[in-house]
Amino acid sequence: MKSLKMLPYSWKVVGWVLLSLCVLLFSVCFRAIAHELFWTSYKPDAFGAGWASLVVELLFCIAPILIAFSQEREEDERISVFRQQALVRTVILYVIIIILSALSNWILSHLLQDKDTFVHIMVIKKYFTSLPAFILYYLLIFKVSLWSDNKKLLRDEE
Amino acid sequence: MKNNIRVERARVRMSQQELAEKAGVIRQTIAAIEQGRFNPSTVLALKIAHIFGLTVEQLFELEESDWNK
Repeated sequence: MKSLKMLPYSWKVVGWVLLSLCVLLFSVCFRAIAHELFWTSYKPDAFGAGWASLVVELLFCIAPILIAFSQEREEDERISVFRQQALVRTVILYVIIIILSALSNWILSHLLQDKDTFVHIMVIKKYFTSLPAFILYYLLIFKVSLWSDNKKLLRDEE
Repeated sequence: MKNNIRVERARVRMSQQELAEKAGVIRQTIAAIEQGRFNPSTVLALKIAHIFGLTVEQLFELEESDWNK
């Protein structure tokens, strides 16, 4: 069985740079993005809501895909097994997150009096339950699993 | 699954890194196989056996617990 073709390792570095830019831009333009996404009355600031939201969305989609579909620095069949295990665990985690998100919508809508705070939380939740977020959870679980196993190997070798 | 890879490496005075390079995997994979934490694919098992000039059956041995999986 042929293994899946993946991008060279250098694309992983590109992906991480783009993801860092995305997080930085999201942090700086958060209020603008939040208000634009929820169509509340908003006075544009110097950044302008339109392009910031578009760039963040694009970077948030492209960067995790580049990272996830690039090879590790050293790649072999053991790494592939960890990828498969991480994917299964991510699906389980993602389902739990979706369920919690749905439950929290009702709770938050009743608890929060300030509309702006509610909108801000909804924007953050939108990104935490998106497909790129699923890829980021997968990357986190994959990296932690690999690091943990390598640490156990080192300990058992001593 | 048990294996004699560590013994065979010592017999031919080969390091894990050298075996890994010959088999086309990383050193941690060889270490994981030796410790029984990872079962190699058929291809990798055949490669390792070929490197030592042995058969797969001479290198790897099924345990009772493998039948219960």
